[in-house]
Amino acid sequence: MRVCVPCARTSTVASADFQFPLAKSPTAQAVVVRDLISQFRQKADIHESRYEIGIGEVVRAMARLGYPTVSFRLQGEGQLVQFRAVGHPTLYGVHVVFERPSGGAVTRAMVGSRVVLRITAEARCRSADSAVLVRLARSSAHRESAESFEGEIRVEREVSSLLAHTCREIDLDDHVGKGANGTRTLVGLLRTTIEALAAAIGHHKGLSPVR
Amino acid sequence: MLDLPDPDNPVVHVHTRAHGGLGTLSRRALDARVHAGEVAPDDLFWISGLTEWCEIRHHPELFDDLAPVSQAPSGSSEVMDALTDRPGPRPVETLEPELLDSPGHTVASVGHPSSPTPPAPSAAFSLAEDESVSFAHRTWVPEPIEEEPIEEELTEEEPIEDEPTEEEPIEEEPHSWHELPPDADALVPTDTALGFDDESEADENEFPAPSPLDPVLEAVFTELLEATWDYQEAHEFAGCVDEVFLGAIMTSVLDAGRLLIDLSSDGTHHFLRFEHPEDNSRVLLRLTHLTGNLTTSRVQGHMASVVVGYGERVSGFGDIWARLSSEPRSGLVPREQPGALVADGDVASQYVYVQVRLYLRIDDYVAADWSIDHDRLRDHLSACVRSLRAHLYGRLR
Repeated sequence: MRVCVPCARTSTVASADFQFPLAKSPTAQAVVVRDLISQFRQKADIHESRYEIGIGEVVRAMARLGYPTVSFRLQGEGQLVQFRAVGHPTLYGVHVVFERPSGGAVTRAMVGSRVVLRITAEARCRSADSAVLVRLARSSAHRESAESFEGEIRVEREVSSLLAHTCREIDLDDHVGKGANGTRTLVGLLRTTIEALAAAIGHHKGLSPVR
Repeated sequence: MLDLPDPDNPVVHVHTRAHGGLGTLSRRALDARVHAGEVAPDDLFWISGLTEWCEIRHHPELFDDLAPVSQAPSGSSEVMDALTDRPGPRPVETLEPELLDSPGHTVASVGHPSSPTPPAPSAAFSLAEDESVSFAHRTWVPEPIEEEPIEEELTEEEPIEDEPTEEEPIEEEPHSWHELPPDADALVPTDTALGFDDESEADENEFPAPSPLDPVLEAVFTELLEATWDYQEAHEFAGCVDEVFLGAIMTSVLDAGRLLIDLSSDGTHHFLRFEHPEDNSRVLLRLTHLTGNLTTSRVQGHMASVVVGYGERVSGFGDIWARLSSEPRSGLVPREQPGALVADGDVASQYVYVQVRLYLRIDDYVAADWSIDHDRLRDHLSACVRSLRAHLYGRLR
């Protein structure tokens, strides 16, 4: 008797595993085999993946700076990627949110290949000094203009961390498919932004030694 | 040498044996009260910078820079004499026993009222040694301090109570855990309990500075925090090393000339899909962290299951698909067994893939100091892709 095993996912994947002449429990097996392919939604061409391409390029650029990824997760309409600021004298981590362009096809056509990055640098207090902790806890948020780029930086305390936020807009066409130059440009943009955020944290009155 | 506050700055905390706490006074007001006889020379005061309460008579410099009080009482000369003389402690036998039960002289409450209070007089230190004294409302009694004349004086004087004065009412301190305000025994004091609100910023000087911490205890607390951070760091690394590895894979494959076109996760597995912009060949990856906690990773090292797939869009997909489907499939052999190369197809995109499941040691690529050997990872992934492509071409031929 031939057992017809339905596709476990509503994907368009058709596999040779659909039919098992002697299978006792072929379902799980079939699912496992097709699992990898069926995970991905179908796209007409590579241009539909512009958003993911941007994420990949930023991950690579941050790796060039020596900052490994430590988390990938969705945040609202965007994708949050968190990096550990290994070796940075001030920062503990850097958080980048890729804002997915909203709106319909017309809006997306107008936006083109521009992607907004919300970048946050985090410095963590690693002090047991009560005076330092009290000063940090009583500190209030402040804003300042970034000197190295056109934008505003907001610095605020959260728990035992100081967070500096800003937004940068990048045009993927400047970085994707441009070879080493495209990557180098993106690395420079991120480095400049991160250092501006670190400097803004340094201006905060609740600053305390970080580990 | 005392760092004296401004003469008119009401930051001197005064505690009299006759009337209890008087709140905070300026030095000038204190001088006037001393001359009026309301404050005795051997009453106690405390200002920021002092480690404990002191007798006024031992610090005549409090009034050195003040103009003489205009209407000094008749006994003023005696008062001033007392301020400049420093007699020894009063004999123990002159002390009143009822002072022993005075609730105003227990150890400073652990849970403070809404505003911080200055260090309590050390009178209670000596109480601990007297077994006849009831300690019903005391939660903690420190070791008695020797050579403290204040203790003996206060223990046998008439009871002293912290009574709010008219000019600055003071909330009565609770004297046991049961009497503490609701948030006083909270593990994490609220801002209200600490007196940190917006209004308190302006009146910073009204509150005494916290008493200096015992350096030994401070060092203990620091060590506990340091150990906590170290442990948390180790756990965090063990928990997120798979995502470090995921980012490393992305970087390495991008360095090989591909573009990331898909990124997803189902909570257990991470999925990546790359495409080469020139030949449109695709690389698929599924990463599963096998040692997601610190204990397991310390025994086995950081291990991951990685399924690597390579695919190309082919012409004549139907024929190839039929050929793949005709291969024997008994169900007896696990198709995703590690190390086995499996061919599969995606009808919608007309891609044919070959994939293999590998066990990789993440430690070989990601070091404990977060450094990543991208070159090694790129070489290993390239080797996989090359072999899968060769296998695919062989199957398609």
